[in-house]
Amino acid sequence: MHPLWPQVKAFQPQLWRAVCGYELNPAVREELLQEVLLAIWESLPRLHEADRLLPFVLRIAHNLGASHVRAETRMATPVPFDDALHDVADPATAEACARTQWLFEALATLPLKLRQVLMLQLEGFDYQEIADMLGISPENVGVRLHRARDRLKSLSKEEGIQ
Amino acid sequence: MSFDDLLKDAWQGQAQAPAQHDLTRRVRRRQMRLRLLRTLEVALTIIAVLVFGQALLSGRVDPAHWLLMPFFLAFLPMAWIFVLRSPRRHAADATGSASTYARLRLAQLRTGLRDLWLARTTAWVLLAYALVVNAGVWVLGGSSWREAGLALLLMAVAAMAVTLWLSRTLRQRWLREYRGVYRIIGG
Repeated sequence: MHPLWPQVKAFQPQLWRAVCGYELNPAVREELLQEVLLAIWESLPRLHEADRLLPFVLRIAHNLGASHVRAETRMATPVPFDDALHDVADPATAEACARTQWLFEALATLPLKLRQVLMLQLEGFDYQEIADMLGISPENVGVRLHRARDRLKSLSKEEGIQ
Repeated sequence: MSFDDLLKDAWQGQAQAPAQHDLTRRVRRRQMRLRLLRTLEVALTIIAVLVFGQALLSGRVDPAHWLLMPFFLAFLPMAWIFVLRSPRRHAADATGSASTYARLRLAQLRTGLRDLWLARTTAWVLLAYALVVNAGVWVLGGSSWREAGLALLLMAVAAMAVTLWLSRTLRQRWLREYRGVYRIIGG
């Protein structure tokens, strides 16, 4: 096992978010995450700077996510939620969950070019780092981010998300 | 709360990855499955080569061998071209920048689509060969040749059906991926 593998496990939330940005179906998300982890496992010997591990693993996740073809799997039929039978989360948590769900559904409507830069910025990378990861100029990152935010903003207004 | 903060909060909210306690074991299992698949492909090829090689070396070449040999001479190389050049996503390719990876992937997918066309063409040619051979053996050959001709025709039809099914499935998937990846660098 590669010595950096335990650190990769620590980056699982970031990898999971990247995967969720490309796939909405929960079952296919897990499959894609497995594929990403396998690719990371096989590529780790190519990483020479250990402190660049997060950009390295996220670059793999975004590359595989972008070329991932949305599988046409049948989604399970949703069962109506019964408040009497289940514990209900407090309203603040429920609202946060709804916002998260809205964000990932809204991301799915963005073109890949805009989606990638926005996802990387939300993960905390700066313009230069995003530019290096995507192979574009920092100015281009700025333009794409601006467009992506505009689209999400107008979507949120249309759907009344605050 | 500003819109940016709202987005960040919503983004951070998606941190609940599925339980992956046995991550290492699952990755190893997947690796093993891929290796097994490749071993199976190699084993099938070796069996086919041994069957026909032995017939040639032992000098006991019967009608079935004569008729099926040209079929396998075309079918096996085509199957291997298809398997080896199939646009699988390789781990090392994905370590490059998004634009580099997208260009590489487009080239791989183009090759894959060309190979699909080649596979379909080969299957049609093999079917035509089987039909011509059958016409010949039914007019000129004895019962052993006719039986061999029928076996050849069955194999050609099976190969054709599998090729068309595979081609249809893979072509749709690769074209979808091609269009998606093209949008990253194309426009």
